[in-house]
Amino acid sequence: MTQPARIFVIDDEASVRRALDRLLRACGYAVRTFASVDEYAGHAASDRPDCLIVDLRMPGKTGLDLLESMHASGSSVPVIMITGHGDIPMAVRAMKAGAVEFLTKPFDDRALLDAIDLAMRRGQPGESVSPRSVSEGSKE
Amino acid sequence: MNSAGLLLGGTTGRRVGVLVFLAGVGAAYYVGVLVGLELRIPPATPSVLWPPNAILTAALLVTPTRLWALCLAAALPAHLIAEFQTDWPVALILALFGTNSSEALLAAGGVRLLSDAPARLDTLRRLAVFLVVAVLAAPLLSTFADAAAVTWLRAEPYWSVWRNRLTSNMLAQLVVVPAVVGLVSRIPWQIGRVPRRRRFEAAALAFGLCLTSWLVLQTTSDDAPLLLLSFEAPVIMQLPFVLWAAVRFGSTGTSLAMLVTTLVTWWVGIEVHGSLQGALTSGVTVLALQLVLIVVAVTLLTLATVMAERRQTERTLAERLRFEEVFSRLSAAFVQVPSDRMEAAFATWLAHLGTSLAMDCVRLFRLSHDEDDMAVVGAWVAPGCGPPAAMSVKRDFPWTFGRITEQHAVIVSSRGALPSATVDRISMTEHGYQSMLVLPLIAGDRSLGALAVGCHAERAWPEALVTQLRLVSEVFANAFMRKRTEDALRASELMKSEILESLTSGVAVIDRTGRVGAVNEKWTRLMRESEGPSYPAVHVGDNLLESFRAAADRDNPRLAEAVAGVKTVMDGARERFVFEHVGQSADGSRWWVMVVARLKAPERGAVVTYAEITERRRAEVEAQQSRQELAHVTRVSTMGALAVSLAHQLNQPLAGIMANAQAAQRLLQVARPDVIEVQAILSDIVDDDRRASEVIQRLREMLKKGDAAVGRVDLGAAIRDVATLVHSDAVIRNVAITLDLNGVPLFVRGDRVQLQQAVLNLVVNALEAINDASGGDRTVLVASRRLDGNLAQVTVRDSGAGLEAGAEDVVFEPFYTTKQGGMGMGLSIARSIVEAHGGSIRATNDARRGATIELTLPLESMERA
Repeated sequence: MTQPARIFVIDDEASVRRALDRLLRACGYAVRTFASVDEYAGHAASDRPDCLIVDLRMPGKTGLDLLESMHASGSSVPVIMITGHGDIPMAVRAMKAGAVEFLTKPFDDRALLDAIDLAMRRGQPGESVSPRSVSEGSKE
Repeated sequence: MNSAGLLLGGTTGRRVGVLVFLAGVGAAYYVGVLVGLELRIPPATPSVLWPPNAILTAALLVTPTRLWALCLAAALPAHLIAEFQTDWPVALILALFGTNSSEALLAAGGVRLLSDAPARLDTLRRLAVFLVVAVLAAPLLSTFADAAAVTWLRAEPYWSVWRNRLTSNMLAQLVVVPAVVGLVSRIPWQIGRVPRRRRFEAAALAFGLCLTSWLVLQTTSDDAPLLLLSFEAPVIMQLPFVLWAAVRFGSTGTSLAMLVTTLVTWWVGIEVHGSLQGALTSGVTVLALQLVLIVVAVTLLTLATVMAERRQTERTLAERLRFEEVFSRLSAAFVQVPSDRMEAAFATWLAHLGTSLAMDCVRLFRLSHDEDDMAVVGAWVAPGCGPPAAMSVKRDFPWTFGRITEQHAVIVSSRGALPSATVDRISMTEHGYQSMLVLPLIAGDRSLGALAVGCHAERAWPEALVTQLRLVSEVFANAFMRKRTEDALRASELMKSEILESLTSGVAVIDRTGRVGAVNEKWTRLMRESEGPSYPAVHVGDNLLESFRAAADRDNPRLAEAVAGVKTVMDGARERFVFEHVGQSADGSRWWVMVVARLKAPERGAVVTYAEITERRRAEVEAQQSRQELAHVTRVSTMGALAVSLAHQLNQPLAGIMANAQAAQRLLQVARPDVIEVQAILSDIVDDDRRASEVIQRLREMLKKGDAAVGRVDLGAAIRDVATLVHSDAVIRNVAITLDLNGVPLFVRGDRVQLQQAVLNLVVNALEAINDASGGDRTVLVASRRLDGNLAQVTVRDSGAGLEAGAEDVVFEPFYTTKQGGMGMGLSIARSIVEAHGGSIRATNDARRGATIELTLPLESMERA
């Protein structure tokens, strides 16, 4: 394992951002957080994550907006949607727009890690980048 | 009144009267001719005294010109019958009638043309006209023709005839015309009123004349005790009596006396000397005697007129003095008479007036308010004239009525002078008045009625008399005005007291010391009902301030507040003061309110209104309760609607807590855990817990049911709380909420939860409005600022579709909604909360898009802050 998988988190809630940063780093991922879609968009285009965790509803551009624009531009970065307020129509839209998983806050770390695993496999077929050694058995 | 007019009754009566009069003219003329023929100096044609022309002149003077032809026609047969007894040729008889009537026409016509009162000889001017025209000019002019006829037909010397005819006719005019005119036109109307003493005097004078005549005539018999055999004897003997007549009985008396003297003179001449022919031979010229008689007559007539004028002046002066006295008493009386006794006063004073002015009738009329007719207020008629006849002024005297309403006086000396006012003239005739004076009673710029005086006889209305009566009419007008004002005042007082009694509130008037001057009946009753051991009843004569102060000192300190409040009103510091108090009675608490309002009157004082407001208070309490219950229900339902977003809001800290906790677990699994990191995690968890608990706390507050807790509320803080509450909802709806809060805190007094709810309802309403709108700018602006006049304003502006046209006023009505499933209570509740806090709320459409709702609340006053 030469290089940890890189995960970007976009969420307007500071406490959620910090908590996810800690959790994912504890699981061995390289993490970077953004407070809004615009902040993420302003980041260097060359710096591409292996997985994107996006909050669905945020002031300004929402996670769904980002997802739909990525889908439209043919991006292959796998996206996991998180939201504090999930409803079925939203989930359906997110999935249709190519989200790997749709998680409702507050979520269990296993569910998140499973979703990241899934996303990694889908994003880079044939290559296993899962740092499961760290996460394995943490909550079972 | 002239004799022809005297006889103007009904149409038939009038014809009969004219015929009688004409017959009288004919008869008098006939007698006159006979006397004239008797007093001739044969064979000469002219007489020494020729009365027919003078009789005809007098008849024409008292007759309207339209009857003159009839008078001449009546004289013609008398002339013919009388003169056919002579041996004169027919041509001469006819010619003489021509000259006779032409002389009468000249005399009467001239006098009527030049004199202001042809039938009167009571001023020097009138006498002068009579002397120049009737005595001199008319005989002079007609004598030329007369003498010519006689000379031609009887071959007598022209100038002798001319001279005889002229002097005899002049003498006849002098002694006959004033006597006849005076007797016919005046005596019938004055005979009843002549004082007894004057009648005796007239009788004595007549007796003197008769006695001297008898004495003179005695000289014609041989055994006469006195021997006065001369032509001048009658003149000399009777001169004192004629003088007496001139001094005391005017031109009529003088003329009558002179007529007697003249007749006696000629009689003596005839009796003593057998004939005038003989007298002539006796050396006494008839001409000289004629001239003496003419000169004496002219002189004495002048004297009589001067005396009459003087008497008239004295009478006028006396009348004026009498009037002044009556008038001053009248004025004084009407200043004091109370309006309800005015009618009686009018009656008394009309009688005074009528008596002192020697009128036949005095009436006072009041013009009705619509000026439609005049009603008799008082009437007086001279004794012996019967009761005053009923009349409608407008119907019977339309012309006079019109003049009076136009504020003109009506002055009629003789009803014949009313040729165009036919109805008025006929009414005067029917009521028996020949002359009248009607003056309008003018007050301000309108006519209130009329004062009318009437006389059965013709009379002049001298300027002085009119002026006097105008003064009287002014007094009456003022009395009318005063009566009208007092009646109106009394009516208004009556209405005021009726209004006061009809009120459901008690009303009392207190003077500036607090003493109760007047109360209505309701006040007394309410005072009795509200009276309690610690609340005194205040009645008429009590001092409200002192009663309250005493009760305040005793056991009701709240009344001290009332005393202070009433005093501020009395001092003019404020217009009104309202004091509510509660009293206990058998059936529970009763609420009372007392409103003290300052009187504008200069003596100041105040009006106190007292009413029971128990029902109102009960209704208010009930309304307050139901409003709170409704507010709670709405709050709960609003919270229900917000629950989803609140759950989201709660989910954020929960998500942070869970992720942090699990991260910590992982960190702690390693051999050497990063303690600092774990501490940071725990700190974040605590923060998130606090956030979650705050959300829950707010939720609990909003769902709490309870009474209003009035306190000091910072509007800015309340708005921020609301913004936090709806934050998630706004995020869900993808609406940006912008706060523009004044840096300075805006403190209002009220219930924080209620005020928050009002703002919350407005913000939720704004969010929902955007939800319905399509795309674009999705913002809600909540702003607060301070306004002039110690007010705070909160504005909630959305970028939604705006209000429906014309809905600005109805959006606050309960159950008004445009949303499916909406209850339409949100804005209605907001309004009731804001109004309960003394504020106001209004909705407007934004110029570009969306709606703005502004609520205004009074800032907590500085001294309390």
